[in-house]
Amino acid sequence: MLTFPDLAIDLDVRGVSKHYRQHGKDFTAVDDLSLRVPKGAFCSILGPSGCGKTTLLRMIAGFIEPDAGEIFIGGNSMRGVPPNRRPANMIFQHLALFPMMSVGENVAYGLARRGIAKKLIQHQVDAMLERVGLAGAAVKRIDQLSGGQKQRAAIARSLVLEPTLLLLDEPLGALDLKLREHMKLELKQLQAQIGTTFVYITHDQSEALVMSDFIAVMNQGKFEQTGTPQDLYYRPQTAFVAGFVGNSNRLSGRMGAGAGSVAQVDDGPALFVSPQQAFPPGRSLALFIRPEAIVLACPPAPLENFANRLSGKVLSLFFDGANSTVLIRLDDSDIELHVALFQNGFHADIHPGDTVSLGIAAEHVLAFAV
Amino acid sequence: MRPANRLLLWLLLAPAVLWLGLLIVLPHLEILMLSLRQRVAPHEYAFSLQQYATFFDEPLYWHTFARTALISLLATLLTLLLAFPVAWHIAKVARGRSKALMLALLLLPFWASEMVRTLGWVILLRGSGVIPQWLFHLGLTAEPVELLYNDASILLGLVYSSLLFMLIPLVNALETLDDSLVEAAYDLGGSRVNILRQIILSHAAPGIAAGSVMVFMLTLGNYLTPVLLGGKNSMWFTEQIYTQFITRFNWEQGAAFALLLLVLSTLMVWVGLKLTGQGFGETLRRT
Amino acid sequence: MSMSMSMSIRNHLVLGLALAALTGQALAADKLRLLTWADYAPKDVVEQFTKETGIAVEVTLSNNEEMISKLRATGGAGYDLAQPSQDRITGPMAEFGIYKPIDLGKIKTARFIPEMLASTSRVTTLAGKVYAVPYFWGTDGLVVNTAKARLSDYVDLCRPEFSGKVSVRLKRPTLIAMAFSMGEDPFKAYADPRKYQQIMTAAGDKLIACKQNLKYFWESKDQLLNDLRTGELVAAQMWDSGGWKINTENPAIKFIAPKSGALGWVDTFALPAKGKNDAAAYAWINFVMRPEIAARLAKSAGSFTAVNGAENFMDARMKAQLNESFPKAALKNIKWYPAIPAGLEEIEGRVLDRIKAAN
Repeated sequence: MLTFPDLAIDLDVRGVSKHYRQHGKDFTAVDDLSLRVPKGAFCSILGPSGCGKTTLLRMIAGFIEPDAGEIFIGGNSMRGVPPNRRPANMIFQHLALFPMMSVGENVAYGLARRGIAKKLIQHQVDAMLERVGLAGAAVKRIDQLSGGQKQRAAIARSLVLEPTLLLLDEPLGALDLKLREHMKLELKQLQAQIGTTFVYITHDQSEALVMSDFIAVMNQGKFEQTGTPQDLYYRPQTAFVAGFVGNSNRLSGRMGAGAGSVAQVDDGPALFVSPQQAFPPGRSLALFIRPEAIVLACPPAPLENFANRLSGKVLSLFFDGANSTVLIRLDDSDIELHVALFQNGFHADIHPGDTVSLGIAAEHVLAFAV
Repeated sequence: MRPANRLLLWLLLAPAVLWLGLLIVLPHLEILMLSLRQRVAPHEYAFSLQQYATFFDEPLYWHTFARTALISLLATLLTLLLAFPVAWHIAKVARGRSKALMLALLLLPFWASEMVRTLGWVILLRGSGVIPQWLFHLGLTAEPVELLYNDASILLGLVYSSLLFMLIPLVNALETLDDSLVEAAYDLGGSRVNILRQIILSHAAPGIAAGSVMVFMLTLGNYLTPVLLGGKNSMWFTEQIYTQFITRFNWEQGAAFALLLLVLSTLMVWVGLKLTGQGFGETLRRT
Repeated sequence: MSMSMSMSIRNHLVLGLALAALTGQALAADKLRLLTWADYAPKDVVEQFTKETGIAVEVTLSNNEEMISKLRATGGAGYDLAQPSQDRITGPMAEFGIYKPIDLGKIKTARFIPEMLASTSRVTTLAGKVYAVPYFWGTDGLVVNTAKARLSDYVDLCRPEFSGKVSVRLKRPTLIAMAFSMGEDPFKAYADPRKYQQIMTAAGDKLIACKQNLKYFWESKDQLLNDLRTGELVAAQMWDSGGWKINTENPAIKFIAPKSGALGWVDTFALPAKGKNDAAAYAWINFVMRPEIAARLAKSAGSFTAVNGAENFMDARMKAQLNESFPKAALKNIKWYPAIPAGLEEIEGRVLDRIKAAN
């Protein structure tokens, strides 16, 4: 758990649980979770579908009442406070813009519910639309907006209420890839500029990594790890986080008997590893090696600076510009590894069938008990 | 277009054209012609506006006309009020099997003819019938009261026979309402009343218009229910038309009444759609 | 809307197919299309007729007004034989030409009560031609639950103690009956529209004043009998056969001839102008006027036939009921409907409308 000693806490989730009965069986969607989000932070809750993140978000918004625990927003308990009285607003997965109203009326909806004078509403709506880059769009119908514009209209509709918390339920999921990449950056910039605390849930690790100040990785109703994107990427604390955040080659093996940290990969070589804790010999392990942590030599050359030196043959080449990888089969085994190709032209002439040398530092082979 | 193709086109269109012409346009023209003549002597008729003049001269006729329109309007409104929560439940709350079951239950009464359904109410409401006897035995009334033969029983019968026609377009309209719109409005500070008005009703407006138009027209043209349940004071305009045609042998007067009823229903539907801002074409598509 | 439209399309299709089937059938077999009242052509009699003659009978149930309307709509086509009341023949005939003269030579006239045949011929003669022969006759009077109410004439229905417990039909016989019981003679006034108007208006006013006494205007015989049975009604204006039917179940409920006189009606046989099978129509008339058939019919309908000597076959209970309801003087006092001149319905209609509208 991270601590933020000098910052006010906007969201404080304390020991919250939620159980459901499904097909006659009890099912725990959210299991005794705690989370503190400081003012102005962009916090993501990252997890696969069905992990309970949507339930958590809906409890924060007030649509679901927790079975146990308590939620504080801006220092106030939210027990018994309905969604329309909470200082938190939500951006829905499909945005839920009101199709029967114009863009301006959508943004004005919440203000009008507060009984603010029409003139003032008009002024605030225009100002907010300008801020999100939709100046002059107030009179448009919702279906006249592009995907990105709808996104901004939905955000404007919530932010105009100046909530303590903005909750976002995978709002980029429905966009096409290119727009999604663009909106990631835009959302991040908008949040930085406005300073409202964001709680963003997603199953897309890339969205979480790019935008967040910190991320809680959630699995089966519990947080696996909470930390900055860098923490999660470079210092995963569980096999789940290592596998879920970023790309990794996953191997299975056993702890070796000798001195030093050597693991025997099943049907493969022995590797020097970076154990996350002390394992007894023979313990089953999951090993994670990131593609960009493997150094390639082609034609084969001795790679003396690396604890692990291997050789193999190129099976196939996946050219994807900066994200290009090759798939290599290690000699004398069936083990295949994805290796990143750095675009400095150094490996520009690599071909399937080429023989290569591989070097991996011990600290880049992460080992977890399974 | 080649002649053969044109012939084919006409052949394909023929059923529709025949149907429109023979069953809708021609009878109405005939009715119009009938309404514009007056009997002078046996087998002798002359052009006249007398039938329409009679309608406006005789308070009974236009009272009945206005009364029919008002009660139909009231019945439509009541049907809407009753049907809405049921439609909401079916569209939004019920799931899977219970939803299918509810729809089946709604359809079930329509397996019996309108006559049988209406007589069912007679059996329930008449002085010696089920409900007055219960009220009496429960001590709620000093003697079995006659619940039939008043405007309330007409309304009851009309609403009952109209419910399904309101429910189906309403359920359709509400089913297409994205739940997250309601949640979003709630989240943005909307009260229940406001969400109902601004989000739910405005989304369901085309369905409401479609159901109301259908129920209004069915009610206005209903004959059996007002006659069977209304008793001695029931005055329903279709009854007047029937009387003119069948027991008075006054086709001319009956035709004038029928045309006036057609004009009334067209006019009221048009005004209703205008007032609620619904397009006629859009509404027809929904029914 | 699309629903009701498609339903009506289907109905029209079905109707069309049914019509096609009917016409095909009519061409194929000898057939009598009979437009008549309920109980006038029971199934067993129809079956016997078909067996004897090979002629199938297609029965359509109706009443006086509907018979006229139906025949008017087609100019007298669609049926081979109709059974309107004798007073409703010359008027509609003059107005709409819906009947053709009847050939008494083709009817076994010896089977009829001579006075009735003569009287019906007289009432249904137009321009020197006879249009009908009599079939059943009966009367309109009062059905009274004598255990709960005592009354002797139509005006008594308006006495305050019967509030909500009596019923009449909203039809012309009610106006005429009320007029008689108020001391007028509406039949005499048939020829004098102004006088008739005056009498009808007075009768209408009486009924308007009396309206709160009426539980409803009855339309269905079964509904009326049912409410008499349960005691919801204690008296009603009705025809004799209905009264006697309920009298058989409950002797306290009697059919009585009002003091001012019961109204006497005669239902007839008349030939629609464009009927296609006159031979079958005459065959039917001669068949049902056989004394033994007529007696069976009279029993099932609860009415009296115009057949000579049918009293010999008459049901004993019916005879007793007739005697109880009609002492000699009352029988003499029956007011028989004369032919209605065209246009009278207009006057009565307005009065009936006024009654309906009054509160």
